[in-house]
Amino acid sequence: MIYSRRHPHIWQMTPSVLVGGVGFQGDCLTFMKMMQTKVKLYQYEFGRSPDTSAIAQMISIALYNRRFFPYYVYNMVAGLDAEGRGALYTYDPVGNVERALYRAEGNASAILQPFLDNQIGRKNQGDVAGPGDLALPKEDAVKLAHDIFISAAERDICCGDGVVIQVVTAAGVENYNYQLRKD
Amino acid sequence: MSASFYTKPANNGNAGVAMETSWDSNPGRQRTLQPITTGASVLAIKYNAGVIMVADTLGSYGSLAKFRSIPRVLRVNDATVAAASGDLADMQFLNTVVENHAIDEEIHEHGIAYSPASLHSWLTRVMYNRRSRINPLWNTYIVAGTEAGQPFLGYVNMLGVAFKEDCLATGFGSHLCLGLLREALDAAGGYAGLTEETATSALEACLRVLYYRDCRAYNQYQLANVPVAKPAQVSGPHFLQSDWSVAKLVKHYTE
Repeated sequence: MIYSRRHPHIWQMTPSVLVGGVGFQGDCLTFMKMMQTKVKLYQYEFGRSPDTSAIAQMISIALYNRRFFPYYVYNMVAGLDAEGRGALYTYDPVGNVERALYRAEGNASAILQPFLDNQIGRKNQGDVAGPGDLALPKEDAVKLAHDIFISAAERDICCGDGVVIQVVTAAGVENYNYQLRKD
Repeated sequence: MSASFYTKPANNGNAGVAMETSWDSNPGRQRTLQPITTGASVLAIKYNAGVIMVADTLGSYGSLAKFRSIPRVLRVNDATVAAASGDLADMQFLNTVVENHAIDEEIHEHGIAYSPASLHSWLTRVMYNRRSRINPLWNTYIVAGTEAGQPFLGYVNMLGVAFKEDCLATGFGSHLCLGLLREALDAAGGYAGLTEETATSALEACLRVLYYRDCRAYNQYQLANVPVAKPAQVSGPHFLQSDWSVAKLVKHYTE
């Protein structure tokens, strides 16, 4: 049953931090709303937005506080770290947090994570060196993300309709929307 | 029998989640296990100058068509209407709460009223909260109206799952009619190209499909129209014309 073809999964918490969440939508909506509220309270108290690592820790703690009645949400936080480099944090539903270079979560994660391991992590490519310093220009990254979702829509019944790609840079957040197959 | 949906940790009761344990001390207090008197589908679609919502007026008691004139569409204020399917006792309870909020707003005379988006958001919180206490309001709500000069249409179900779309349906309507409504929108190139007449006839055609194919549907319904520039209007009961002459062609329809 397709409820909506245009339901967003990424929320912008501050001008430079995005939080994505998939899973049970009741918990997703509630959790995102709570996180937005906590960010606002931080802004009221400190007069500035929390940075990426602060939000990352806040989410881990918020998730673990419900260790025995979890939020069924798979989260990711994307932003810039203190050195201005890209930062990605990924979570499980009870708050285990890990900073990563790339990650796939959700219904098609089993299909996509190995693909990312190969294309970005350069795994299983013989003598090719590992990711090391990610030398992926923004345009290539966006194209890769688009291609990844085209692949996901091919094989996963729950993926499709459209994809929203949001890019966090020092200049702010850019949006790219692409249509995907609707079956 | 003591409630033991999950074992609470010994030191921090309720796992940090507010859970009433009144069922332990007060055995008369229970939780919703199943809907009793139910309403069937609600359908809604945006058009170029507003949004229309329909719901039939039947209250089913299992498979008995017991209450044939139950209003399921609530006019909240000039810009907001809501309708629910599912347990009608829960719907009437929640509608009373919403109406009382609307009355409070009028009493304050500050000109601020529920917008459909704020009602949708509030309803989501309430439904999610009840679900998290394992005592749900067994309803699926559709909220329709005018938000910032644009048509608004939102869905909330008993789990607190909520979203917004250009056409919505609950229950059987989501299986039988959502495709028809989406086709009407595609044919018009989006809701901005859909006229009020086309939207109304699309909804009526859907109600007819439901009356033919859903055993719990009915041929008497209410219609709510919230134009962007004018106050909301709930009209009804309307009667659906249907043609059952094909019935005699059905094998074994009459023995």
